[in-house]
Amino acid sequence: MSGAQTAVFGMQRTDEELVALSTAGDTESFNQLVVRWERPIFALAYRVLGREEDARDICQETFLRAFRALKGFKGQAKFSSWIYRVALNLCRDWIRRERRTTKVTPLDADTEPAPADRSAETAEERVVRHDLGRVITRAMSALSEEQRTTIVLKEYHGLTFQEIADLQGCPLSTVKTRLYQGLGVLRRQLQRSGVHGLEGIAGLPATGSMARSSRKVVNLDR
Amino acid sequence: MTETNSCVEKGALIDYLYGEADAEARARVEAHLRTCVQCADEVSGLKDVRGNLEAWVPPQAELGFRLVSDAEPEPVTISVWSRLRRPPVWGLATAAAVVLAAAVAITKPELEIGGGEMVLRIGWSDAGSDAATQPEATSQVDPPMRGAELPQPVQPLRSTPVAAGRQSPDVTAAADESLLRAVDQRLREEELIANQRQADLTEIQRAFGEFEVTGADRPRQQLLDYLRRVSAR
Repeated sequence: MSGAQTAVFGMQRTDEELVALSTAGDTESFNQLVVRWERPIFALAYRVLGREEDARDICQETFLRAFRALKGFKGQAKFSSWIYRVALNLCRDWIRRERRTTKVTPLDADTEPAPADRSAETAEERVVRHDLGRVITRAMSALSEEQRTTIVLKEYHGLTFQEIADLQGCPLSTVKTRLYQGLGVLRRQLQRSGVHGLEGIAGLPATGSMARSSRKVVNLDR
Repeated sequence: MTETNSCVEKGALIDYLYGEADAEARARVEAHLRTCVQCADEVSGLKDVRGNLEAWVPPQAELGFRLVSDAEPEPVTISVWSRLRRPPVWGLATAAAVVLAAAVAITKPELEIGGGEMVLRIGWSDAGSDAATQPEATSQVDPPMRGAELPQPVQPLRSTPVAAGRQSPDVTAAADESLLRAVDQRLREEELIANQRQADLTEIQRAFGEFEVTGADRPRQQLLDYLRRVSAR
């Protein structure tokens, strides 16, 4: 069954089924994988690189590479793990290339945050959240690449410690150390910017349902 | 734990922080936190950091990647955003032609040959006589009219939502949302216009090369003056 037929009957194929169809030449099935994963991959690249334009390029390149290497994907890992690995490798290459060619550049703190999924938010909350987002963007610049990637994978993609260790090719204990040290650096950076605890964003239900809803958990076991 | 003065093993602390510690480990950490102010403060601070991280939201990017099969003539990937950012060649060519035509209309070059010399007269520098005799041609490229085609200046709006949101808490949510949407829209328009302008200038500069080949230096200089005025707005 083609991807189009899948859509017609409203069936939700698994990643592995779509990979199998894509490998057999069904481009539309691969496009379904793209639709399913492009937002998480873009968000990952954006938070690791810090720039929208570059994140978009990395996202596109990730799927191009994945498509070209699809025949070599034998299902030894979940598709999601595989696509994350491709994206992270591209991000790492990008960061190293940037280091060679330019000075260290700060993350783009001027990018407007997404207005999506914020319908319950008042304008005032949104403005405060926007300001805090900029502060966090700058604070993230103070982290090492490994610390930032680890925090992003854990905080925004909900990966397990073991999944992060597998993706980064490091021991479990290293993942926890990076998290601990990275959060410590962020805490100090936020304090320097005037954000002291959650009261620094008065008016926002930071641990409420609205805030939690923004955290996208990726299930690599799907 | 030398970095943060915590006396709990950091792996156990991270497990506890992310709710992944087993019951025994969790009880052990909690018992320690009840007696150690320093560690309790550490855990509380890290929890706050995690809470604050929720505010970092990626931009709502235009993605729309799609692969097409090799049999189709289109490129392998098509990015909607790329299309927006790269104006079509015919559009650039048309823009360049319009600007050149307008410049010619302003300068009204006249070529006189006689008396053993060739004189190229251009109306640009003779503003008084041209203004009196050619009002229509001048108005076609009058700066205010050209500027009127563009959206209103965006910069002043950048700070407006912040100020309004903080100083007027009783403003309705709908109005604020509308204002924020307008700001988002203006920012995107600003970027698109900047890109279009840059592309136009590149194409127009290329057109000047043709003037250079023909040796018509004065029209070229006049057009450069015109472009400086356009790009200054």
